[in-house]
Amino acid sequence: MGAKVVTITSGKGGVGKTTTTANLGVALARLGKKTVVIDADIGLRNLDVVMGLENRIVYDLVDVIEGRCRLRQAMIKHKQFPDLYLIPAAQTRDKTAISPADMIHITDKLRNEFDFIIIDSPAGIERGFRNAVAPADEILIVTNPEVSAVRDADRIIGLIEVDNKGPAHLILNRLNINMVSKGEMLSADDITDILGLGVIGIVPEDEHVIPASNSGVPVTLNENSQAGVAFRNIARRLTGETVPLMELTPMQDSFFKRLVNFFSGK
Amino acid sequence: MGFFDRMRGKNNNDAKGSSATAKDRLKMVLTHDRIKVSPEKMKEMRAEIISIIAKYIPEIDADSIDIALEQSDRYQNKLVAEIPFTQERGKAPVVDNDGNDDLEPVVNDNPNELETHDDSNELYLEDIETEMMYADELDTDKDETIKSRTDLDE
Repeated sequence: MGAKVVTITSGKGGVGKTTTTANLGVALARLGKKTVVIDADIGLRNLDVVMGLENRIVYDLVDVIEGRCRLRQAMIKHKQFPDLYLIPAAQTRDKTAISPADMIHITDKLRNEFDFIIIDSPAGIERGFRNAVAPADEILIVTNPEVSAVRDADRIIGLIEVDNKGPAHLILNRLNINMVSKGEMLSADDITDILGLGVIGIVPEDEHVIPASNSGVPVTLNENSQAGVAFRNIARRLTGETVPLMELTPMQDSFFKRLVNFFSGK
Repeated sequence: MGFFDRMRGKNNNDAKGSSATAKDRLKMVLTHDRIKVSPEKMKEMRAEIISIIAKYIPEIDADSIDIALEQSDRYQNKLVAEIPFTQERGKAPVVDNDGNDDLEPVVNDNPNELETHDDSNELYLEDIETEMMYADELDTDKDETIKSRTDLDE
């Protein structure tokens, strides 16, 4: 059976595409799935640092496409998970160095050997995005509970529909449940209602995420991290397992806060 | 705003929370994004629609016209227009119930009773007259009867 090609995209930059790709790659490998993650953000290579593999790059995606190396030579094996590989982006070139047909060609060569091929799309809706979604069997749109991210997600949904690539799924990243409960942040229900698209995962805002990328160890390896659990759940859903959405409960106000509320007549 | 709210720099003006505002604004902007018609173009279209309708029905209430895009989900878009008429339009046309299109209200259509009231007599005659004119227009075979009735009138 061939691999499933999953593209992680968003429209807007900085919503957590690379973090999501790295974590899903690791989480799938932990589930025993042979996985390769591909950084399609040519010129702005980042997946390697988030995964802690930046020191081992010799060849990259553009080297493979332009015939300077074999596909195997550009695949970096993860230290901890031998079933996980990274194909890094070129850092010195731009999006025009590859085409949608190149991406289809490369993933076709990998399909027989792997269970999952996860592609990290660049931000935007131009060539780089086109390259990343061309070979996709499934598209996951990462968004944040913010007007700008949701609007861009909607634009992506429209473009994917035209390409008959849908239906995509949403990953709602950086949800702050305390703010939602105060009515100061869009909820998951609000966003599915606005976008008319199902959610495959809700990742809570979590202070473990930045330290994880600081050290190049994806947060899903941290057993204490709620975001880590959320990414593992998404990985399980990708394998076809039914996993209920994580129960997120707002933090109880502290005694002092309640005292303050009491005296201010709330 | 309570003393402690002020101490915490908290603003209690918006009890609803900003997420409701975000949702409303997003729904509006996405509706326009999806159909590729800007709010500015909508305004232009609205003015044009109103001017066309006003050509046929002058009594539209331009101030209360509501033309809006509605979206039940991302694939279901419709333009919904509510164009109320002014009250004058609502009153016209007045149609009476005597079935002769004369727009004259029938006070009493019992001829026997009419004869007993002097002021109603006139109305009765008038009724006959219009009936004759109507017959004249439609049915020339009845010339004779019309003549005889006209005689009667004289």
